[in-house]
Amino acid sequence: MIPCRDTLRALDAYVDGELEPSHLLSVEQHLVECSSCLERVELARAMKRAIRNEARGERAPSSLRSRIAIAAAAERAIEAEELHPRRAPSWRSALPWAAAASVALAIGGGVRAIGDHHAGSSPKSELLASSASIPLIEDLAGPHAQPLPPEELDPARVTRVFSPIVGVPVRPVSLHHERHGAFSFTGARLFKVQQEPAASLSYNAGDRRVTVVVFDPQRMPKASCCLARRTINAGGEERTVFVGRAKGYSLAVYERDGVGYAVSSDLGENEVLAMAADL
Amino acid sequence: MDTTGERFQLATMVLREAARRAPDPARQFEDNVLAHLDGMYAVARRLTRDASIAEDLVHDATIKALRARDQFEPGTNIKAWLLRILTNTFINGYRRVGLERSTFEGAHETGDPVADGWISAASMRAMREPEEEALRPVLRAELSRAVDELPDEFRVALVLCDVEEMSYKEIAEAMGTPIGTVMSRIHRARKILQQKLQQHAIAAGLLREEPDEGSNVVPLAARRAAR
Repeated sequence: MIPCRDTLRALDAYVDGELEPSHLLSVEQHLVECSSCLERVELARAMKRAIRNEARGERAPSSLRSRIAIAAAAERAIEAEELHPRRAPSWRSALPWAAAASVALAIGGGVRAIGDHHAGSSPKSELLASSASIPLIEDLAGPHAQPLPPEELDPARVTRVFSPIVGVPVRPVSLHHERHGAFSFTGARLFKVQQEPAASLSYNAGDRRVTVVVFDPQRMPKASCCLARRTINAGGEERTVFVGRAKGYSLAVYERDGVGYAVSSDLGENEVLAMAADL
Repeated sequence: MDTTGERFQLATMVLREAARRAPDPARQFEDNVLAHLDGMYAVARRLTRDASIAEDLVHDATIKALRARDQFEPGTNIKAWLLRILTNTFINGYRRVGLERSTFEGAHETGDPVADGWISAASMRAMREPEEEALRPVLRAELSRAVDELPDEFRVALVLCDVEEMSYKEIAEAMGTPIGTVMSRIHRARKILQQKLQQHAIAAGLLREEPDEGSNVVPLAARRAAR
């Protein structure tokens, strides 16, 4: 009979299915003869099963799933950014890179940022975005990216007709840009953001276009995207604005007095931000 | 809203949706990675012993994996690759640094791995198949606690081996140690678990103490039909 001592060292490997075939026979032979070693194997197997069964019951919490989905969406956005650098990269130097790249935003019951509670070592770990809400941001930039003929040209009629549909006051406002001067209102139309009605107001100054989307934040799902959270001074009051790019255009999204605004333009992000401050 | 405009809008929405759903290697890779979240979380839970730290660990490891997409060799085992990143992230950032290595590694890994802690066959069977049904969950809970109390190095090796059924080679790669070290850690881990279970079983009245090797103490379970 092979002594236990020679087999003991191989028992774990035997239990884990790691034993080489050449060794397997002698161990199995020993187990036939030695009830003590067989019991060792059975106990190790029982423990292995118990440990596995308990762990296998674990499911990643949905909070973790969404947190990772957010971060993954931000990763994709950054990757796309690195692969296709922007035509006008001026904002990159103007804004702190890490902060500008992406932050989550939630619209509905107030605009707020979802914080990443784990302080990572890399600035990228602060990046957040929710995959579910990327379509919302794309929708917000949609009317600027794919302009359709206006339904309404008269600002007064826009307010009267569109406000009850959108659910918040839709007022064509004056837009001014320090270099391009006053933007003139060229018309408005209704469209849908996440199945909910919203109004898009078009402006232009020369060949520059700006689109302001007015929407009811209460109707929109909690939304987030690859936008940076910025605090700006708007006429003496602090205003939180989310700035970034969507569909290749600059986009600034914010909420004021219960009305959601999304300003998109082919101007730079800082310029859109400045316009958002003036609105 | 005129119908032409509406149709145009519908068409652009459809196109936009199609573009979003078009296969994209980054997206596919992401899907492959996210398919293993439960497994990663289960391991992280065992490694960190804390639900919220486990979430942080899985989050960090997942983002690392997504960024390291180019380093993944298609066709190889993605789960083992992910667990390697997870283990690495844990060892390098989440462990209580240094302390456990110096306390336990020397003591456990240099000693004779098999000489100490003799447990009789009957006792082992009693732990495996407690005579009273009610004791099973107790022993399972005790086992789970004992796993939590293992020194990090032992716990990592055992969890990767038992929960994820990784090969010794994969574990060695994940932990950055030779295979021999992995084997020794798994062996030591099981030994510690057995001893703790035994102590617990004795305390619970399931087993009597075994004063010395080969003693004729009769564990309660041995009174059952001898097999």
